[in-house]
Amino acid sequence: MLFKNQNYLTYKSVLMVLLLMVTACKQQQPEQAEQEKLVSGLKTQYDLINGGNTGSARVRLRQYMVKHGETSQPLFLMGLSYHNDKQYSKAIEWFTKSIESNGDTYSLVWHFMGWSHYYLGESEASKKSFDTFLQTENGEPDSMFALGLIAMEGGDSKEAKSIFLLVISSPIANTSIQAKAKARLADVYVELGDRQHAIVLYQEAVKQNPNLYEAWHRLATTLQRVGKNAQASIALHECTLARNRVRPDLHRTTRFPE
Amino acid sequence: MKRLFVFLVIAGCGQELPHESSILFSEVETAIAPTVCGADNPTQIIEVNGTGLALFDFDNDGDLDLFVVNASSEPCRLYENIGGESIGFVDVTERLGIDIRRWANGVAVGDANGDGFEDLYITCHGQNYLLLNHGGTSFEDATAIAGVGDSGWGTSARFGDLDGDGDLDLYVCNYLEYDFDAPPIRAKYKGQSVLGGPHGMTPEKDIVYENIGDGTFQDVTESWGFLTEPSFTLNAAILDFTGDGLQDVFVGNDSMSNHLFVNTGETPTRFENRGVHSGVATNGDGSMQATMGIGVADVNGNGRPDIFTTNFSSDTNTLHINDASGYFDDRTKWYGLGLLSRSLLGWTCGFHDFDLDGDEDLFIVNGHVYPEATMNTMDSPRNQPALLLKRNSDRFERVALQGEFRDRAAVFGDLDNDGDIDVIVAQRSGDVRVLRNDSQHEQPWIIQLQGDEKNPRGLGAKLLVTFVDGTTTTRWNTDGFGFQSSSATPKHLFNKPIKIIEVVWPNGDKQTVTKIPSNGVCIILQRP
Repeated sequence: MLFKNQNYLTYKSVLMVLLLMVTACKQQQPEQAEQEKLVSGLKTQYDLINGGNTGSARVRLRQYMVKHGETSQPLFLMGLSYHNDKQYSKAIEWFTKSIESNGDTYSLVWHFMGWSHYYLGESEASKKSFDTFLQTENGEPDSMFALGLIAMEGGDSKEAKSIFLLVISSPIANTSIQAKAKARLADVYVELGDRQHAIVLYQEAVKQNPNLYEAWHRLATTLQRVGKNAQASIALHECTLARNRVRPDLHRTTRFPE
Repeated sequence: MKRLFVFLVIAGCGQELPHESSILFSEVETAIAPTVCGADNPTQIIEVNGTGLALFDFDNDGDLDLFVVNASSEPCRLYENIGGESIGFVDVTERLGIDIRRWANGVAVGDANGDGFEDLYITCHGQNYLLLNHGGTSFEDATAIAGVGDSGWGTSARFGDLDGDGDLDLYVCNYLEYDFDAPPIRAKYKGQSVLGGPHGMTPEKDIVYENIGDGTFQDVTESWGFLTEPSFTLNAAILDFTGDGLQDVFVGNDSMSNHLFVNTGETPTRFENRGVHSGVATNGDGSMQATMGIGVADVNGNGRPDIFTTNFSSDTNTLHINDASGYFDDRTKWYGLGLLSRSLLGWTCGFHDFDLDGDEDLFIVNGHVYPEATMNTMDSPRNQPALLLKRNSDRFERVALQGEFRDRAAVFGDLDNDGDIDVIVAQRSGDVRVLRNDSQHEQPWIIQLQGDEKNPRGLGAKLLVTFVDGTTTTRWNTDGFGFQSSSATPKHLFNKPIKIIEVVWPNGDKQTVTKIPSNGVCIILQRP
């Protein structure tokens, strides 16, 4: 189990920083590297998924599989298309097929499998998937971030804090992931009663990613708790603006979570 | 008669096993008819919320009777508990003169006229009804005389002493404008065609009635400060959330910001909506949620009521911890209450110490609104298990419950007077299940409150209990805040000897009891 105890964590941290430094020299995110492993015949489908045209992507993926067989990569992309549609049970079905297919497992499948399990509330399965992914993509920040969230849900503030700190210090973490990790690390500090530290982190998070509306909201509530009502009002206003930018659907009178 | 043993194996889902003995429920066969709320496969939003239950002692004979709401020409039914030490119910609807055949949804219990017998307020799509209980021998429709026949789409309703004058006022939750002749068009959810609403429909405003004390009520929604932008209200809880001795109102709105109407203590009575300011309007991330179920307990042990709400699938339930300074913090994750509800759609919930180990566990009933719901299509099945979460230190740990249902309502109380909390659960258009608590436990110490004549059940009172070992716990006398439902004000059950009981009555009066009866049963009468 990753981060089982503090000693292991320290040892792991040192190793990880070294590995990350090496990886950083390549100036490439692990996911990018994985995506480049996609066979050329699947680039269009991948682009369709990323562009939100998941239905078209699935049509073409099925056509591809009729021609080339049900191999790991197209099966993964089928799963990814459902994952992006926030249909996580279906995504897991395809990710599982991808893992069980002949040939090399496309390792990124474990990462998305982890998130799909997470969104279904299956923390144990989620953790297992992220751990598996991290065995091949050591220190991948988004998977690490997810493990931090799972630690929070497990009530383990110490482990959550350690993981988020690693993500923040990761040289391969992009600003978006760093911002998310800072915001959740701030949540940990709130839980630990250190609101001042939390405020600094929330502020850094929204500076790095002004669209992080959850962090704006938590910044607002934390500022309010320490009596900084004027700043809290500004943060709350920024929260509304950010949410309208990122999730205009949430601004509708009502919607159900998807 | 026992139909089957339903439960319970302590399951961990990867979690550490609870350290105490398991909680054990058995389903008991009864003569309670299934509820009716539209078609088995609903096609309209009016059908999906199901109907409520009320558990109360209508004839003051010392056991708990059951009122079942039905939304159709099938009448609402009253069942008398005839079981004694076993559990059994007989339908006394006609004998008691009850004849409600409407699209009824919810029910609130309270002694509206202060005669010592609990009355019923039934919410409907269309006119609501106040049924006055005449000495446990008959019920009379007093709606028109009382002036409480609001005609919106009523969901939940609550009695409570909002103005501190001793009698029970009434908060009525209204959902939205629904016309049977012009239902909303179908909508899309997770790529599936589903019944339409509430999106795009017009919310209705809630109504607050002041009990004048002469058998009539007055609409004080505006004058007391409750008039806000109409919301899709599903539930409400009346309690002193701020610790100033005055009753406040938490209002749960579907997919819109919740409200916390704080009693300012001014004369004339005035409330101020501090939902956003206090932090209960949304979850910690600022997202509006569905808020069907409301559970209140002192989860973090600081003597203040914390608020737990149940929500839609692909979302999480939320625990707002009351920090005792007017603010609530979303600490759902830290108590392990978030992820486990993502595939469930929650309704009524309740905090009770089911295994009498000294802390309050959490029971939540679930079921999807869309008949099309499956794990494959919506990451959430139509039929869902109830969640029983055993409190273990600072965590809630899931105890496996068998069976999957389309539950909506639940009420909690000691049905067989054996000193533990049993549960009755109603599905939407389905069976009503009676779950007898068969957990092994010692005879508990019991506290019951008896308020003054205007509020004989002491609805809204707070209890601070100090045990002989020096530890303390806080409980409240409420109707449980079940979705469209109302449970009897509780017998408070404890697993260890009590030293001191401090009561804060809903009008702010305080009372301390230090002479605890040797038989462990303490009935506290409100001092005049």
